[in-house]
Formats: sequence, structure tokens, C-alpha cells
Amino acid sequence: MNRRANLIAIGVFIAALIGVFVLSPHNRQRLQSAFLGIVSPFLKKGSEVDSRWKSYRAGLKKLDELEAENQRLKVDNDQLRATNQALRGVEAENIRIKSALGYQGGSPFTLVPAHVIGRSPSNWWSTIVIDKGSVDLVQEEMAVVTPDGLVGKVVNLSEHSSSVLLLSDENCKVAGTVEGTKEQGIVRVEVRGQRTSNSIQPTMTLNFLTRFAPLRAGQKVFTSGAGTIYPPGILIGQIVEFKSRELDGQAIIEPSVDIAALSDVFVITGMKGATKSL
Amino acid sequence: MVTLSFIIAMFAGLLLQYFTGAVPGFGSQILLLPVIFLCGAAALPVWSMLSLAFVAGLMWDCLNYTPVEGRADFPFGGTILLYAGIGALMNGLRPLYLRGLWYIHAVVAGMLTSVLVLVEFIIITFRREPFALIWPREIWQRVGGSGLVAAVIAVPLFLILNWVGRRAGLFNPRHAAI
Repeated sequence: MNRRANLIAIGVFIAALIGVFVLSPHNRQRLQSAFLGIVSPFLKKGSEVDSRWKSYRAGLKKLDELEAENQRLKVDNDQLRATNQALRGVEAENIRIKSALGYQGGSPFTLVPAHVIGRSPSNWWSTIVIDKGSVDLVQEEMAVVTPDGLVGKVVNLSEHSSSVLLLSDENCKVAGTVEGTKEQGIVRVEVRGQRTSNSIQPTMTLNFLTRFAPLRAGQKVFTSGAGTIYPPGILIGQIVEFKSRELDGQAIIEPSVDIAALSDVFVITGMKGATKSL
Repeated sequence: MVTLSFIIAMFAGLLLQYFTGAVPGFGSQILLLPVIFLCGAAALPVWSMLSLAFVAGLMWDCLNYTPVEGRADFPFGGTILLYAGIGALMNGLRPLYLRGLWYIHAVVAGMLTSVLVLVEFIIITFRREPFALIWPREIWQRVGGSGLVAAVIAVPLFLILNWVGRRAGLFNPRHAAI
């Protein structure tokens, strides 16, 4: 009886598995979108709790520092310092928001600001979840940036959230060009035998350059605009080293964005003044 | 009922993983979903294990399947098969669990989590750069780190599972009455 029940269970499992394998891309996308929609409210709440926990811990650090100062300074002096410290925190937040708003206003692109609500727990894939989706006019394959530069592109979408494939994922390849030159190539994460993950700030490479290209450390690399996803002129990073190889040249690039510490990003939904989104 | 509780726990574990980050010094992610699944695979009968494998794999693929230019590292649903594989191995050791030897399963849960991460790595590598399979220290750290943390997490999970099972009268591992 038990054996028979097991065989039936295995049969049902195999049938269900085949059902998943033969899903059409459209149905698979709908399933992914629906599940992302279920998960995103929890991720948003979790992200809020996580932020509060981090600021609480940061607050504890400040208290420690203040305690150390208490041993050296008078009590009223300490109170003034604490007030000053709190105001500095507000000021820093103010500067950050102003800078983000300034970037949004000054950018030639139409930008949708988004908050990072989750980072993929995978060891081998590098994605984040943001709190903007199709109702915010976000679409798949749209470029995602910060004021510092390129972050990646939207790969999965639900109504109120999206997954973003980060520049640090090996599958994310971008056509890049070096400032002040005609050198163009493909930027991708440097693998060195290991797969990347969210926890690592990657090193990138710009490949297929001219073998003896006159490139030097410090030169900036921007998106070239080849292809339909990334508009031209978005900063990717700066050259750290140039290597002349057997057939071509390769530049090692330090990304301009701190991939491991992303909190606020912008999705490029179109060009300002353009009637059609990118 | 027990299977449903595990499905809810796996969903909670999947969400929690998004905030646990990496193991300091190892660079490996803390994986809660496979550990909870493996606890279920050790304690529950075959049909429940297969249900859990299906749900766990499908949830993972829904969030992590990212085709680029129409091509993905893994087929959609492939993770279900991986979970069923490691679940079958764990379920094979169920008689030992029913005799109360849960600590063996805690160690095995760690090992199988490492196997899961390793198989993912091998498949991805063959998909992305065929015949370029090399093993720098970072890979072993990530594979081993995830397994090590999984084994540590599995200990309290098995203790809670046994305690809840006995209190709720659902099962008693020592009497093989699931």
C-alpha cells in the first residue's frame, strides 16, 4: 500500500515537473510576475524593518562613542555634541535626497526613483528587487542607474516591484566606450574562475579593444549606446589597468557604483522630451 | 497539515534569505530555504518530500530565473529536480531520524546544502564557459560556507521540529508515528 502510494506520488510529481518544463515563455513570465507580486509586499516590510534595525545599530555605535567622550568632557558639552551629531545626520540625509533630486532633475533621462527592497540570496546570480513595477511605467530591459553610474537592467516585473540584473552578474554585458577615444568594447564582470555574487564588489573588464590602444589608468568608461537597452553616456567605471593581449586589448575597470551597498536607484524609462519610452 | 506548515516555513525562509546576507569571511550566502526543506525531507514521507521539493524549487526559480537574450543558466523548473534529488537522499535516511538520530541529519543537511550549491556552480559553469571548470579557493569557501551554516541552522530547526511534533501530537520521532 505504502509502496503504491509512493509510486503514485512520484508519478504526480513527474507530471507536474513536466508541466513546469513545458511552460511557454509567456506563461512562465506570468507565473514569475505573479509570485514576485506576492513576495514584494513582504520584502518591502522586511526592508523597512531591516533599515530600522541598521539605524538602531548605528545609533548604538554613536552611543558608545558618546560614552567614550563623556569620560573626557563635561555633561553639558556632551549634550551639545549629541545635538550637533543628530543635526549632522539630518543634514547628511538632506544632502543625499537633494543630490538624488538634483540628479533626477538634471538628467537628460526620464527617471523613476526606486528603493532596493531585497538582494538575491543566491551564491551565483547577482540580482536585486526594487519597489517599482509596471504601474510605475517600468518595463523589462530598462536600464537602472544611480547618480554614480550604471547599475544594471530590469529583468522581471510585477505590478509594484521588479528584479534588476546587476552589472556584477556575468550575464550582464554592456557596450562601452572610453572617454576621449574611439575605443569601444564589451564590458562584463571579470570572472577569474569564480562566479560572482551580490556580496562581492566586482572588477569589470572592457574587452575587444585595439591591441595597442593608448589607454591609461583613470580614464572613464561610458555606455556607448550600441544595442537598445543602455542609452549612451552613462558612466560605468574607470580604467585601472590596460593589457595588450595576443589579438586585442583589455582594460580592467573599477565600477563607479558600489554594487554591494545599493539602497536607492533610478530606472530610465525614457528620454526627456521624447514621446516614446526607450 | 504538517506539509502545509513546512511550505509556510519555507516561504518565510525564502523571504528571510533576502536580508541575511553573506557569511562574513566566506562570501557564501546563508541559505534557509534548503535547510527547512531538508528538515521536512528527513521527517516526512515521500509524497510530502516531493510536494516540498516542487514548491521550494518553483519558488526559487520564480525569483531567480533570469533569461538574458532568451537564454538562461538553468531551465525553468530545474531547481525542482535538484531539490527532489537532495530530498530523496535525505528521505532515504528517514528511518534513522525516526529512531531519534536527528543530529546525523543536521550534518547531512549541511552536506546536501553544499551539494546543491556545488551542482548549481557546475551547471552554470558548463553553460557559460564549457570546459573552463576551475576551482579557486573562493568557490570552495562559498560551497563549504553555505553548507557549514546550514548544518548549524539545522540543529535548532530539528530540535524545534521534534519539540513541536511531540507537543502537537503530530509525530514522535522515537516512535516512528508520523
